[in-house]
Amino acid sequence: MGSLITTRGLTKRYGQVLALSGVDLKVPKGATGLLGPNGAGKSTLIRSLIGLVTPDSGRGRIFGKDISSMGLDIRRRIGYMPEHDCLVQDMSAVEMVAYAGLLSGMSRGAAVQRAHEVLHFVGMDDERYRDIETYSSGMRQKVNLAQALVHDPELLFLDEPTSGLDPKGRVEMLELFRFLSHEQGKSLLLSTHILPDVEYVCDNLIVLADGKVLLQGDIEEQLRGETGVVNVRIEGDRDAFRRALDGRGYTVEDDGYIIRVVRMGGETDPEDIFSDVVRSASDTGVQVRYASRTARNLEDLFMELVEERGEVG
Amino acid sequence: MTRALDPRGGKESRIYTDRYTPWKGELGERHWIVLRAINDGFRHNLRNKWVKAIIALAWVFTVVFPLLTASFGMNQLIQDADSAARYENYEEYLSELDEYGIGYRMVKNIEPDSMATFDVWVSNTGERPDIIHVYIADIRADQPGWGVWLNLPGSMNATGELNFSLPAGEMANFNLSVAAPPGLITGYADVIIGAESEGASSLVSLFGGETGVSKGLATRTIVGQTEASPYHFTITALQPVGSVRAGDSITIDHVIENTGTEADIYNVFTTGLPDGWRSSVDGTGDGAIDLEPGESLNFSVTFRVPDDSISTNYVSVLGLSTMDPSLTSGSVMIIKVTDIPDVDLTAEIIAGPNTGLASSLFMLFTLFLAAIAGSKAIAMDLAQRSYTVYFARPIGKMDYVAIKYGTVGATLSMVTILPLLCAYLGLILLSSVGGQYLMDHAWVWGAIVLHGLLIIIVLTSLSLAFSSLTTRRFTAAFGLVVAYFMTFVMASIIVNVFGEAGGTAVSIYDSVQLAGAGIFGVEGVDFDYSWGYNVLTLLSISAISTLAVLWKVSRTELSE
Repeated sequence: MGSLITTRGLTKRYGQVLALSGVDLKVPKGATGLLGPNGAGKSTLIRSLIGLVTPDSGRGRIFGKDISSMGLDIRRRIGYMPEHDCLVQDMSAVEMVAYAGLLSGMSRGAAVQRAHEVLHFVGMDDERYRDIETYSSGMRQKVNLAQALVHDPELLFLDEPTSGLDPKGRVEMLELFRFLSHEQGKSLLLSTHILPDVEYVCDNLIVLADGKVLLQGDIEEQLRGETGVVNVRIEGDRDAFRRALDGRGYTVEDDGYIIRVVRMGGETDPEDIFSDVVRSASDTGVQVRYASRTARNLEDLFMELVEERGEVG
Repeated sequence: MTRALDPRGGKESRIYTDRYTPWKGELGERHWIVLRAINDGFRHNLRNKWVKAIIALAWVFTVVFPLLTASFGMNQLIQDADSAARYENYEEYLSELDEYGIGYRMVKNIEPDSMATFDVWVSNTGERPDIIHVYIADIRADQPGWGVWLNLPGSMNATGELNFSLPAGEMANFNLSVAAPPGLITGYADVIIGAESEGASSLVSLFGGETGVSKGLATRTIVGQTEASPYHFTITALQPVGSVRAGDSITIDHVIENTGTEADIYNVFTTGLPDGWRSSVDGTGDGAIDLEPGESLNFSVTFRVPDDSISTNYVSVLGLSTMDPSLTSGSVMIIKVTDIPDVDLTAEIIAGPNTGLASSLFMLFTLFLAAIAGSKAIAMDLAQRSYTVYFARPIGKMDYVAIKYGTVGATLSMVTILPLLCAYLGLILLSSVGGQYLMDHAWVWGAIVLHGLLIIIVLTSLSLAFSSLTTRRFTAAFGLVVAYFMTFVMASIIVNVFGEAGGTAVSIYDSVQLAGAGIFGVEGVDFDYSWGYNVLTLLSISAISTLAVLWKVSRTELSE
């Protein structure tokens, strides 16, 4: 599958601050999470891609078109949901979204009709006729999404879309993203520092820190090697059971209720761990009441990557 | 992979994923985007309550009120012209009376050594109160020694002149006494009573027993003719004063009455027509009017006015008696050709004291609208970071600037070009100058648009420049207003203190006024100074402001 977005050596500096440092990317179609701590350069990367800022060096292509010379063509096919509230306060949601449609090239009639459709889609009912300055943060974010969607773009750039939302608003927003990606086939580049958001919506992952790409790829693949942990609950001699597993090369952590059995060093077939657990239980005469494989989540992966670079939040 | 959250398991979420429909339409090109965005921004501006209020006030003061006053003023203008023309042509009028022998409205036959008393009325037929000065204008007699004086009824005070203070529409009575010289057996005296309006704007009518249209009244007193002629008749114009546009025709109804004691046949014709004028008499059958004593007949006279006629004209209808060839009667009409000179109509709109593009009130409305609509245009985008949303669309920064210029310019046109075009059209309709005038003065439409565009360009550029330099709309608006008045004060100092007329070139207001006067070619301003410099000033301000806007917008980046 060809890449939707590619960059090579993308660099952007603000004074003494190096926001992007030779970023090389290959972003496939689908939902991609752009993860990174605050100040990692996520927003700068998105703004560079869609032409809101001009990179100091490097090249980039979206839909196979060069971002520096074919920005207008690219921007006909993308939607951008900015991080900050960028809406015109003395417009109603319908006016704002319709205006965004006009600026995307829609006729006035089509823009107004489409504005109603997308506002309805994001859950704005009668309140869509009120001025935006009267809206809550959640409503503003919905309008923000609607203006990005009004012209039905192929690719959506979502910059911190759930920041500032209450739990219910966040769930609604993520559900919309997931629907757009999985049901409507749109590609997303979701920039956030909230790991569960990426985990819920995205299939692919880019980790950015200090303006550099630390990791990119399929999320399932990235987490596949992190399955060497099994949680066990037993009845019987816990010390003997731990010693038996130690003897088979496992690291055992016992909190008095659950015993965490970890195979250190490289990939391990979970079935092998289960076999060793059963054999150790048999050898020590304990009864296994519960055994479950646990996976390391994105947070584990992210923290490992960041800590390796000495970067913490 | 374990899901980090389960959106379906918690509170009910109000989302409508089943309601999303992909859009299948086509997206337009950039020029359409710009035009549509201008239209949308313009409509958005018009929904602002302050914008609506200013536009409404501007239309009241620059269209409705001027139309009402100009309408009144034009009617007055026509009346004044009539009065002035009559006064100027008074001698000509009198000579016409002599030449055609008409207008001897009042004739009295007296015995030798006796006196004739004419009962005369003076009427203020104008629309304003007036003081009317009545006097004996001329005495012509075949013998010397006639005594002539004026007096009020019942008064023994004889005088050569009388003054009457009359409200509009009121009249007053006085007497003209004519005494024959002692011992005169036969003879006559023609006495003409003159009248002048102090206001010089009211139409004065003098008449004595018969309807008169003149500013003067002629009388004839005859001594020695004791037996009245059996033949006598009168011709009266029912609308003795009329107006007509050049190239059109006017019809005036008349009545001819046999006031003698014998039947008579009359021939009626027009006389005294200016060059190019044509006339026709209708309602007289084969041309000869046969009337019994006391009988009357209505007929009409149509005058066709050539295209190039421009002035007030006197025309006469003359009747001749068949039975007594020396007997004549007739009417004199004053016909105003209402082709208002160019300078008057354009000046009324453009350079009038409180109307038109150059008026201070008009400029204030435009300035305040620019302060509201223009000053927020970019400042609010900067403050709200709305340009982030705009520039993520298929438009460039030049497109953005064009949209802002178009939006503010279209809004300002609501208080500049549009009302002025309407005011001009309204004035033309009210003045009844007709379609030919529209054709002949097509350049005025272009001048209105040109001058309006000049104002729009300079105020749009300036307001957007201030707007691009701040994120506070009120700061931008304040800057615009201060710049406007500051340049005015500076120009006033240069002109009044240093006596340099060229100082007006530093003032936006003066430059707009003088450029307007220059474009329309009217003498409506006090400065004797080339307006080309003022146009240069306005264009320079616009260019510098536009460069400032382009510079600011081009370097705007999202660096947060």
